[in-house]
Amino acid sequence: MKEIALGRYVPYNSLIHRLDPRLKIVALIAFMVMIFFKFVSTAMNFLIYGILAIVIYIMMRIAKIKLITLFKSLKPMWLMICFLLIINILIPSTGDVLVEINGFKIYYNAIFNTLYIIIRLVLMLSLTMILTSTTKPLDLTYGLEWLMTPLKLIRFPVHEISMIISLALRFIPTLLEETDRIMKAQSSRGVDFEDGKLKDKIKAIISLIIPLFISSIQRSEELANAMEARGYDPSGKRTRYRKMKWCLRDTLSLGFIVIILGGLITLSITSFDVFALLGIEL
Amino acid sequence: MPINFSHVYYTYLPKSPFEYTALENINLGIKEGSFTAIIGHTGSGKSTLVQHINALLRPTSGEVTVGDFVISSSTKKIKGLVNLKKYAGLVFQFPEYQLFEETVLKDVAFGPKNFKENNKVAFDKAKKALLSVGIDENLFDKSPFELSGGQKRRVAIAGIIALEPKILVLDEPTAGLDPKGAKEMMNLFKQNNENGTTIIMITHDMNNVLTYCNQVVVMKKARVEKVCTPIELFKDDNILHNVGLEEPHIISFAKKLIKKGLNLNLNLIRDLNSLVDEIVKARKNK
Repeated sequence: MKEIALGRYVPYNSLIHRLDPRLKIVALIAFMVMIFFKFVSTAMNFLIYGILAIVIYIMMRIAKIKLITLFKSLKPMWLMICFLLIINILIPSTGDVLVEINGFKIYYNAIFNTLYIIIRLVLMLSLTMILTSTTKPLDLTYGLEWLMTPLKLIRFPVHEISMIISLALRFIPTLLEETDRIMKAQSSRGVDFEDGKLKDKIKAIISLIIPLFISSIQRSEELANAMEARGYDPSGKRTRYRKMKWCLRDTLSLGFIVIILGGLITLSITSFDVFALLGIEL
Repeated sequence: MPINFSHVYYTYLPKSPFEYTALENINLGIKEGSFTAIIGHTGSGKSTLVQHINALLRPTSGEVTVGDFVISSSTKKIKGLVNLKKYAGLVFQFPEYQLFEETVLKDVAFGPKNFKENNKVAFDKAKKALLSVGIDENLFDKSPFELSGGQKRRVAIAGIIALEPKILVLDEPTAGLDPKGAKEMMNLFKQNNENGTTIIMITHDMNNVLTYCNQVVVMKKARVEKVCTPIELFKDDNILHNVGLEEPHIISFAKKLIKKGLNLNLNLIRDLNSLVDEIVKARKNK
């Protein structure tokens, strides 16, 4: 339980840590869109994925995220990847055949489609990890709130939503600590959380969940009372001690992202094929 | 010696930016049947230290021996780990959050049942434990969540006492209790101690340390600063000042009397009664 959860904020002081949270959120969305672009040929697709992967890897290096943490978080996904591969093989496809077993054809496309999904998953995971491990949860919600401000025009409760998100984020570590505490207390009473029969396991989970629920409900009630006692009013106008400041580095980063996004859109629309251009036959 | 720490280090989240060393080179022995207090400031490593006693935490390096059990960093799976939990019962700070069963009695019987006691024995043990902590029989079938804060604490502590541990570890058992309830609680532990249970208690209340304990472990910044008897500690103004402890009311009162010329023997003063006796004796000898 004490292990660092995936994407937990890590207080370094890198360039990416110092960037404006609003920019980081926009950049995340932009990169996510780029990951889903489709290009003229398979080779072109893989080339662009390769370039994106290099860019993302450089960003991870800047943010001081170790590759190993990414791979650790991928471990539980093996099952899903195998499942995807099987489904893709079973789905009828067209194109070149890789192997034929007793009249059952496995197409190159099935393999490629699975690979695309895996690459997209890994890239998306790394991007989210970069965002959450370089941005304090509170900054993240401030950024979200700012980005959602236009929605106020259609009477969307922007402030309330961002308050809910920031409270939820704020209490994740607290809940983890609480879980740890209760698990230790119950295992002192002989509960075995690791092995045991299914029946014992269910009992073990119950002895953890009930106290956890009760303390969470109590905590939320106390929090609500404390907020009310300090005169919290969701419709009130709020000022902030730490203001988000847009700096030159933010503008430069935004420019960089716009260039990549624009470039990829152009390549996609014009059906540009670098391999055909160079006359490389695949 | 039922409990022995030798060269124990413990580090939270090693090799990460959150790395934090909570125990540094702990060497400590606790005798069977003793009533030991562990004192020190918040963050000095007290709670981390006691969690090693029933192997909730394993030392990063070094070795902890508890009875016949040896806990070290290299042993992956400890043989009979479950039995260690029964041998050394640990009551956490504010233990009332661990209650979850429908009735008080069932909750206390939960522990013994986990150690494969049959229903009847488990309920008998639970009843005995509940009565010993002063919970009335008419509360047995109530939901633990209907009880008052003090009653919840008693029920939670009964949940560990029902395991009949040989070593009872308590993390600030009286925090947040009213003075009367706290005193009753301390007397309960004393009684358990007289019946042969080794008691290890984390506390901030120096009055309790003086009255009930026969050994004190002083912790400071992840290290054991001193191990001695309570009176040795409270006589030594240097260490009191060094660790930032406040002496018990009775001791500071006695020290003031000594300054004014009364000839008191600090070694014999443990509580109000013994203080009065000493004063009377000193007045007679004058």
